[in-house]
Amino acid sequence: MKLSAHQKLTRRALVKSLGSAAFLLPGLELFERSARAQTVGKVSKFIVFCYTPDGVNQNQFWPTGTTTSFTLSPILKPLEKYKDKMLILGPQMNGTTLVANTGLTYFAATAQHQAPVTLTARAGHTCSGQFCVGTLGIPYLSNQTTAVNKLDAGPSIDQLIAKNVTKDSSFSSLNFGMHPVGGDTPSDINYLDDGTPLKRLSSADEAWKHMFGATGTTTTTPSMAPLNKLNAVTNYLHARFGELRPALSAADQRTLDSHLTAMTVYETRVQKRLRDALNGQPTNPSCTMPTRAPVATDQTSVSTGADTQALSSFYMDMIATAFQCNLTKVASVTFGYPGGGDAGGLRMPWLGFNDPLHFVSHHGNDSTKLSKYTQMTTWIGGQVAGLMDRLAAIPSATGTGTILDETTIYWFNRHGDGNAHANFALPNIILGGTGGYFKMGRWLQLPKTNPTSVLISLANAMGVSVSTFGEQGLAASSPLAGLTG
Amino acid sequence: MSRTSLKWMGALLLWFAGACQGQIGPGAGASGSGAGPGGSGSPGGSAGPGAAVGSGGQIVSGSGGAANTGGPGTGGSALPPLDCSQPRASTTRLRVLTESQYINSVLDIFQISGSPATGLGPSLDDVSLEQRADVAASLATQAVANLAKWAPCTPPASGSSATCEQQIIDKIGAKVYRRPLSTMERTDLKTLFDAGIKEKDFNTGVEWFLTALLQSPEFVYEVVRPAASENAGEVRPLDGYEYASRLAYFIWDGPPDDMLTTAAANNDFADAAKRDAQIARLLQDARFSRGLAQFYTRWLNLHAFGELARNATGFDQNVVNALSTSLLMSATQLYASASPNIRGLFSGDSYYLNDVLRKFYGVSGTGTAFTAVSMSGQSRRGILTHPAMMAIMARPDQSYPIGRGLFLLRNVLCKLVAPPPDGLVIPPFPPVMTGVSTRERLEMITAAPLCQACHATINGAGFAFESFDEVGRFRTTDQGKPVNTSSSLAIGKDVDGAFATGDALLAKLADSKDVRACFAEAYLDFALSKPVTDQADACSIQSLGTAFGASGDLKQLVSLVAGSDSFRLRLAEGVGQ
Repeated sequence: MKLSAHQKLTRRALVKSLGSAAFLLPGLELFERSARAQTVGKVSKFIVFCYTPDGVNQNQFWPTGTTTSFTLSPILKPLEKYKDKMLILGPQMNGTTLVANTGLTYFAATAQHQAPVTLTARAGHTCSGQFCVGTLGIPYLSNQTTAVNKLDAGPSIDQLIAKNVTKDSSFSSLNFGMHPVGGDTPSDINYLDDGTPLKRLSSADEAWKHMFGATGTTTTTPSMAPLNKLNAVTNYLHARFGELRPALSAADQRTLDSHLTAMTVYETRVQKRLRDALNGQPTNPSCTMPTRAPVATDQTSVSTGADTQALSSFYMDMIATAFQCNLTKVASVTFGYPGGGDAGGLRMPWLGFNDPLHFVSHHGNDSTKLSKYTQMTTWIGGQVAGLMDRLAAIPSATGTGTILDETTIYWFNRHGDGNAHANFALPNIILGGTGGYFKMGRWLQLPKTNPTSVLISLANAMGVSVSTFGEQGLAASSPLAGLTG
Repeated sequence: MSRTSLKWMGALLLWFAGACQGQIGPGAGASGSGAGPGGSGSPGGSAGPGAAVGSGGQIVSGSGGAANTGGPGTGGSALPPLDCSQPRASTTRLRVLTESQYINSVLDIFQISGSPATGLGPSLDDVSLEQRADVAASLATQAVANLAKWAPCTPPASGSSATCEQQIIDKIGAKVYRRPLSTMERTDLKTLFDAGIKEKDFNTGVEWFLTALLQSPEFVYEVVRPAASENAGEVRPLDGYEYASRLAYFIWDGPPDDMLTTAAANNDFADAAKRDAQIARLLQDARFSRGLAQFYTRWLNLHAFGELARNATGFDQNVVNALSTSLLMSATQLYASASPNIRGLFSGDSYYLNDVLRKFYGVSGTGTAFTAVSMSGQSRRGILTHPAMMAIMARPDQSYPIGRGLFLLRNVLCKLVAPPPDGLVIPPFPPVMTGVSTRERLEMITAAPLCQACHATINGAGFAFESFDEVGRFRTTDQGKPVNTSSSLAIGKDVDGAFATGDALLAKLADSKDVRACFAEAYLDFALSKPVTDQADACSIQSLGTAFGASGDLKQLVSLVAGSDSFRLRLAEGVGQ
């Protein structure tokens, strides 16, 4: 039995709908506690990072008009009703010409799209031919599908924020991806302190299972067996790490430490979920559950785009639910992967063509390709607007306003115009109520904006103080001036 | 040049006015020059001295590239001759098994049918580990379902059997960990197994035991343990079990079998004759084809082959899938002979085609099976001109000489070609225009001296393949212009010189010593799963290049790699150091 979108949930309704899976909902009991929490000053409570690869049609993105009186472009038109919740920074983010030494040639062998640079402000690692070596000395192929695209260090700004604001949330962050991996280019954007990329949830099933611990279709009675099994396996694994670690080289010890840390995060989460299921935790009656995405994500749908619309809608529902139910305060969603040759990136067959985004981004000023390029990024703009719609429909736990008022959305790109891999004129904008932190409803047209300063501004908006961020030529040590009231 | 062509050329000139004018942002790296490659720039750091191993094991030095990019070096002078009087090898670190190695391990040990797991990425963050835990639990359930097939004892019909339990722990635990278990491991595994039995029954014990084994670091990683007494800087052999594991994953892409672990227990790998006998046995086994497929997938950059899309009518997913199979067969079928030679890789015009490919490429014959068919009269020479290779290195509507040239230079000749200087404004490739060939458009767009510093070489190598269009069909004209595949190479290799046709250049590859040295280096790269740019591996590269250069025997190369110092030995780091 499926739940309709945003159906009001009671514990009884959950149990009826999902069987025992409802018992597995984590963290809902924390909602009340969170609801009582009051933010001090103008600070955003939630943040979402929306990543689009391969740039935009520059002629169809920027508004016309003045700072406070501007007309939206075709690509931004879907966001029309949120004009008062937009802060448009460009068209000079990262300048007006190609900027050297900022990861344009991310790997030595080929020019790349440098998605990892976007939220880390770090250029990358040493590579040779097909191989790269991270700081820890772990070798890997410079191929997205077979390699860990580990950076020498991290974190990305979203993870830095997450570390500081997670508090009583069940998940430090939730990261979703629509076909996030493919081609020959590193597409990761979320990185831990040690430079480990975070895997994104890349299908409805994956996301649901990760967040709610079950597929929603099972009706087994809660029992001790899963918890007993987890504990028995966990005890064994920890003993292995404990036995192996002292016998290794220092570099290998660091690798195991990173592994063990991640394993502990996962185990703690699942143990809590299983314990909650056994204990029958109370649910928050105002928490809503999204509708499961009806289209499966598989090898075929990746190449046809058949699942993309439903998946995007589902992810936006999941983010809204996650914020409403205090599952997390930090989320990200990526729209395809950058690069990948002529077949790379998202496909949107409902637009009447099946060309992937990367193919049309190398438009060569061809009018047909430019038109398709515009249509595809306009659709993505519509998805961001859809997320805002969902957040605007959920009352704030404070009793005043909506969750959208408390949320900051950063819709960002690594390229300005994808045609020549331009790393300037980035079409990155801030959206949402931002908790009143930023003064919204403006098109700033700031001169030569440093994108890393914007990352610091975003952290500050979430109440996270950051003195410096990034490395070398990408570093910044202050927020961008002029964004707040 | 015809009047029409001149007209289009004029249009192109206008289109690309300003193309590749050498606009470089501040801090751009210098273009490489000289005989030696520059070193990799340190990530995010300042440019510094670098060193890299060229083909044939010559150590060359050069100044590092621009910060962040590992960009072009300034070329270098040869260092003193390599001292290979003492065994040399590089450090060995934890390596995560690839997805195929993980799957093959499970298939071999538990005889589960089909492809039992997908989506096992290389990342080990908490989301990935949760998924790996789910995969392990699922595989354990599947393995229990056919317990009788793989268990070393007869599982009890009801109740439990302490004897069978211990046999499963000892024998299956050792297979999964690829070495005998420690006392502590045996104790801990029994505790775990017993907990499962106590929870429900014997099979539950097996299930919990396997779920844990498949998530253990000793299985997930290929582990090399420093000896307690070792000193950092010593060159030491891998222990027998470590070598057996490395050998099996290299040649079979799967775990060692019982004979290999027995050989390890007997310390047979310290004896060159016994070691060679084991290697020869592995090469005779059907599992060798798995390792070959992995090598050629990597060497030929086929990881994303399934995403191939071209505009040509009829070039659908069936053609793509068939091309992928056909291409790998071109390589792996060579190994059916006792002494396959690299000449066979770079010569011949027969390819394995099925009905789908015969129809698309206009070759006569019937049948769904892939059979060797001659594509004579098309200037084809082995694997490089396989339609699949030509299709990969192309654009949707045209050939792509840059990609083809870079592949030939980098992957076949080990000629390091620097990426464009950071900050260079790279114009889009010109659109297809009637009356203007791909070659003409490329020459125009890369005409500026700054571009020519690299593109004179890249283009020349790529033009050799202009007889093949974007789907690998043979052609004599391109956009109404006669195809011109002539050019020249001057890269310090034994294939240098002018060539009147691309075919003439390709003909040189089959017997080129430099091609063989490069191929040997690529094979060592694959075997070690790490870069062999470390000077410590230079002696192995050199000796492999010499031996394989003389014989060209592809199977012998696998043996030579497996017996090389870089593969058998490691540079000790010491415990905790």
